[in-house]
Amino acid sequence: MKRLAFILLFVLLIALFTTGCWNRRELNTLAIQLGTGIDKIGDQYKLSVQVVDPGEVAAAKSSSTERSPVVMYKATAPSLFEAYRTMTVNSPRKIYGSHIRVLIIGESLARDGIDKVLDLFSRDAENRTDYYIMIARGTTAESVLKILTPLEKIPANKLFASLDTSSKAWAPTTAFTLDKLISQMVTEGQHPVLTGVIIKGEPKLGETQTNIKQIEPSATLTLSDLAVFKGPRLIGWLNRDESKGYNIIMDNIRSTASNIACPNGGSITLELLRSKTKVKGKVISGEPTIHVQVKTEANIAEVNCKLDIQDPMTIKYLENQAMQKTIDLMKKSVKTAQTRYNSDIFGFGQAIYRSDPKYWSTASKHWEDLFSQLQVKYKVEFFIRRTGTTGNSFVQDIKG
Amino acid sequence: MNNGKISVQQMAILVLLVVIGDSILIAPSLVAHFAKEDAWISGLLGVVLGTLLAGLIYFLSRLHPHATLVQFNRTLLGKWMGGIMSSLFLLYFLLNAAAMTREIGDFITTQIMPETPLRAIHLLLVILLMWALYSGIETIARTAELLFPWFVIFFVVLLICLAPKIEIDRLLPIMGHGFMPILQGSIYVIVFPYAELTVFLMLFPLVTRNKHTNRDFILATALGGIAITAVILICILVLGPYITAHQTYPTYALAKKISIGGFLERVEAFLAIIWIISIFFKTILYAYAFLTGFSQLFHLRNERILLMPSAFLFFGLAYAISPNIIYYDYFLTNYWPLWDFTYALVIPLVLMIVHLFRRKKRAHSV
Repeated sequence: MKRLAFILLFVLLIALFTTGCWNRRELNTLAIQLGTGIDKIGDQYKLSVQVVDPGEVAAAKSSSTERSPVVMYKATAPSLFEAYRTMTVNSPRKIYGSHIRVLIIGESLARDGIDKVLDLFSRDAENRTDYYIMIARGTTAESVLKILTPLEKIPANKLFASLDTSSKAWAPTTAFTLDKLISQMVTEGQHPVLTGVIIKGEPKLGETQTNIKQIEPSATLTLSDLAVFKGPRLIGWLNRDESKGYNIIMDNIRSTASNIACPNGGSITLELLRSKTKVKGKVISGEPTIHVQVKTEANIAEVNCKLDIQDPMTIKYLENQAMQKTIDLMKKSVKTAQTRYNSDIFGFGQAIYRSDPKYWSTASKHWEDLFSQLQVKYKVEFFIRRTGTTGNSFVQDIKG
Repeated sequence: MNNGKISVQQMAILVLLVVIGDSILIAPSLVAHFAKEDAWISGLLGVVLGTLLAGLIYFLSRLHPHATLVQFNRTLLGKWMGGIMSSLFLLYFLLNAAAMTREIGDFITTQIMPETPLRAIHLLLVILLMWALYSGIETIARTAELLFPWFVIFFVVLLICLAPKIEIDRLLPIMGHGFMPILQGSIYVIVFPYAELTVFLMLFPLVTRNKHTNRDFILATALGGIAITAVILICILVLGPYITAHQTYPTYALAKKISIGGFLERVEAFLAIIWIISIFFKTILYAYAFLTGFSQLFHLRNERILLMPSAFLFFGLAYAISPNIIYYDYFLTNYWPLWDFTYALVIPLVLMIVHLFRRKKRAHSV
């Protein structure tokens, strides 16, 4: 009897605790933020978050409603966390941070330094590190997040998907997540880069629903080339070729298109299938050198000239041309980083440290000077494997 | 609760869980703080030295195969000296159990439920703890046996799912900072997993021995250490030394990195189960050692009357043991190793010397 009473009491006690989590939050009380933008106004931060309106993106519903699929909330405060909490005065729900897809930082803030805004994102338990970070080039993060986008209803998702897709299929872009960015900022002998995003067209028109009612939207979000950082501060931009070179050296290339000029006019385009880069540092008699080894496989994707591509010698010639071009891209990129920005975005210092930590302990103090005159040796192996479904192009046989 | 028997297999599983214990959560950060890229070498070194330490503890228990530590203290040192020695060990068991309860509480309030009061989590844990102790050591051992396959599966899933994120370059340079940092880092692989095996001095007499007991014990300790080293290695490979050292719970950050095919992701809360299993079993064993030791010291006929009072004790201590997580981490990093070594190395050595001395004297007098 006593035992039964004890067990009953115990079961009742357990029931007390099985009601759910202490700080549970139901889906309908959360404002799920997908995009976050940070700008600086004076010495305060302006936080803009893009929150999804769940009713508007539900799959079963037709998309003809007049309401926007996302809502933006803004707040300005001396710290980001304060800004988040300030938002509750105009948002009916508390902002929930676990599903961020993109974090956009305004260019002017980036030029002042991004270090101070990132702490919250690495400290807060709600946040994960699987979203991408971008720089709003020549504009504010707020205006980037205001543009409505076609195909992907949620603009933040569109940015995430764009960068995700293009970093896999197009060389000049690269995807950066928070932990990678932080590692690169704190690692000696390495500076980060970030992809930029620009608004093409009329920003004002892009904010309204009409933007996505047209075949060609008035304003679109486009990924730009890479922003170069020195420590936490943005100091400039690479152009497209330099961005490409950067990604070749960093082994970020999964697939891309590469164009080679034919000897007698016209051009041939190659589709890169695989590319593998190894960066090794060596110190020979106190002189640091970097060896970059690239191994690339490609197919011929497009032929616009009169060239007999069924001749093995032509393939050899093309391989040589492509090799030379790859080296040129990398050289250009390194040269810009060395002379214009003097920022070791390739992590060459890290490579030296990894191969010779003793040398690095003295060299790290004046690495900036060493980097600007660093010897970089390139070795590229380029293989063209296939020519697509046809042999020689019909272009050469057109009557004329 | 008394006189339970545990099989060799159950012992091996409990040893493995104690070795992995809280180290799976905190060791990577502590070790990487000192050894940077070489943390995994610290891990290996720790396994070798730690297994030796485990062997020492095991050897001490073989000097008195049928007596627990408290009983052994009495026969060796007499009623008063033995009693004082046993009280010291009881304090050690008590504080360790409370500290580990706190560790689970801190982990959950930091990572999963930040707005839940710490004491609400402690209350749940202490109730579960008392339930386990009420059921007795056989039930505890069998539960460990039941949960163990899940533990192994989740552990292997964690390692496999992270394979695509590995970057071998993060390991370089090897031994770039010399040997000292590696040695410093390895202390944490010796202390929290191995030194805390002291608790088994209260459990070994319950083991139904067979011819594999020695081998299984050493195998379990070594395997546990290798599991910890594997976690450290994967932390360095996936997160890099900097992030590993600067995360409070790098293993949790690691689980957050899992993303396979865009659908197998956000599984970290699921994986948190495995370290809660291992830490909680360690806590249970420490609490068990405290309770049995206490009743053996004072010759209580019924141990169960201790359940309620010790529940309050654990609950109160777990909360009072540190005012905040900074204090706890500071204490854990700087002083806890010495505290552990005192009970796992210094006192056992003293006991062994006294034992040998006594035996020699007895041999002379005969």
